Amino acid sequence: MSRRAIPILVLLMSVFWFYKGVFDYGVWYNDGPGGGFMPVFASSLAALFAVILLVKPDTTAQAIPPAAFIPLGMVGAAFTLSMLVGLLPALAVMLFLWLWLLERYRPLTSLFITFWPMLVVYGIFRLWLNVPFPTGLFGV
Amino acid sequence: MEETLTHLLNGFDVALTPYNLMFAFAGAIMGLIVGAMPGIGSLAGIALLLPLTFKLDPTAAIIMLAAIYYANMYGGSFSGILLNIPGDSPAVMTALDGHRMTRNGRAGKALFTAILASSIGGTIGIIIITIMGPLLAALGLRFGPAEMTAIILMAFTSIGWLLGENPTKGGLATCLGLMLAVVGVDMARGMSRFAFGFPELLSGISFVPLVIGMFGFSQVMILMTDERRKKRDAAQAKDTDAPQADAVPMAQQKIRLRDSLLTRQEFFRVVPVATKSGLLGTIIGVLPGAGATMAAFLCYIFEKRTGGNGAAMGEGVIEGVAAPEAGNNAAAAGAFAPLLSLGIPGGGTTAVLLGGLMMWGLTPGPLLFTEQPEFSWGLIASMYVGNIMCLIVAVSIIPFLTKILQIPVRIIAPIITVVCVVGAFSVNNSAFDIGVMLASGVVGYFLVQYKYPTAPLLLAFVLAPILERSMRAAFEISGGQISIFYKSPIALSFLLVIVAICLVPMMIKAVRALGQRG
Repeated sequence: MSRRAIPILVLLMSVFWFYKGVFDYGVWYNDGPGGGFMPVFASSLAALFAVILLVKPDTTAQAIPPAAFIPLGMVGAAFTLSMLVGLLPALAVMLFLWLWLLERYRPLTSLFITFWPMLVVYGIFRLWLNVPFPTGLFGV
Repeated sequence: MEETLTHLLNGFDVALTPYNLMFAFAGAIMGLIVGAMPGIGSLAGIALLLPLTFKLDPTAAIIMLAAIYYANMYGGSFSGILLNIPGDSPAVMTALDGHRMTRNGRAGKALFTAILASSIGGTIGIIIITIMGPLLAALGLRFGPAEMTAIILMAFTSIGWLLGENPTKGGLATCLGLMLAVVGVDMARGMSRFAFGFPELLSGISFVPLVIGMFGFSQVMILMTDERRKKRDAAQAKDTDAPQADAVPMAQQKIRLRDSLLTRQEFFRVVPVATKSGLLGTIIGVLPGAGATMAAFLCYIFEKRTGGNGAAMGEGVIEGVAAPEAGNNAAAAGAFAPLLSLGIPGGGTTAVLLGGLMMWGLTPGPLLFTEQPEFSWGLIASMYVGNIMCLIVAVSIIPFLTKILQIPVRIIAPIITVVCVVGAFSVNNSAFDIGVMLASGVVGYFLVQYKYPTAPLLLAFVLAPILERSMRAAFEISGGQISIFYKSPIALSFLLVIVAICLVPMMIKAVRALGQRG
């Protein structure tokens, strides 16, 4: 099943793209392609490739290890925390906890490693590029 | 020719301003360091560093990006030579002989050879694009919408068909890129497409968060589980997989600059190999879909078959390092020719550069050389300067490379994550873009795990608006007649190439199958 995940998802997506292209955006408009031409063109080909891959699935594909989704969870947690403390402090907390709890560095080492990249990020993005990062409840 | 030289000299005026030099230098340093990190690669490296150029003017921004790009090519070989873990796929061939040289206690020589050959290969590539760029642009001036449509379709087909083991997967990735690219307001008809009620999607899926996610964040997900991580950490810790009893572990080697310099005899062994591979690599680099990896492989094989020391290649000789390194750097430079003159990137990394150019309001293509000569020639001149800069920076960091490469992946992965989030946010100062980056990262990760090539997706995403515009214009000119595509000899020849690209591999397969049965 997992081997077929991408063709199935692309097939579903292409059916939707095709439908919207034909019925909502219009494939042809006077003497030229309408807004739906490109979605229909791309989705038709995508559906064709997806069907071929469903019929002949790749047997060499690797399984997806759950550990791969750890970064996604970490960023999700940091994003939630950012509403309270601001984006940069939340990312600093994420980096520290990641190093300490996941990578098993000692707390002091984790703090030391966290400090330098965060300093660089702050210097480049906040001070040089003037990016207005969300500040959270405490205005940091 | 005289005109080209005049333009080039004007380009040097632009490239040699202290402002542009400073950013070329910064790009060279960052590119070398990022390129040396195993598992990041040039595509992810450029994607991660793209937000740093937002504050610069277009010329400085693209000069810095170009410097990052070819410095990455230099850096990719370092971890391959020292740790036997190539930083990027073109460095796989370099690692064969390069790491064997490290085992023999000649890591410095291997690094110096890689840097010298990269520089020679890169310079040859740049000289060829200096000559070819305007010629291709002159050819491109004959292109109307029909020809443009056909050449873009040819680029899609060739990159989809050539990359990866399975052309169907390449085709699927290309179509997925096209489908994602149509999200947003259709400028010609003024209608919103696939925005799903999100105002942020009306201007389309943001390019930079998509690239950062697909090539940067997906790498973090891979690094969390990848064998390379364990292998690298093990190599750094113990270096126990030594094939020879007297092998010298990398961690115990102190690489001094004076020991790394080549002797006169070695220098004259490297130069002809690098020159041959530079020429071959540039030709490969100009072809869409072929790219630096294929150039490195073919140059290595070519040198092994035809070179005087070919039989010893694989056992740790400098020719085995010089051939793939010169080839991949020449290809990286060669890929700029179709990018600048026709607006057609040859692969994923040049597609990111094209996206960058478009972000700064520049439209690469035949008119770039005539309408914005300051920019196009400034960029070409900066490649000469940047190449020399990479050579100097790379040679001077040789003694510190052992230290740089000993930064464990378990520190690199969370830091890249922070850079991905901050970089994605900084594009439009929007949290929505963090979501786009994460979603693209997951898609990119699944594509990589299931062995789908991601470069065709990116190429299709970048070129889709040009394709749609050209296709629409072609049909409007012809009154809706499809014959416009085969009445033009140029468009027809591109379409025939598409058919050949699709059919020739199938025919070869069929003939081989028949031969085996026979």
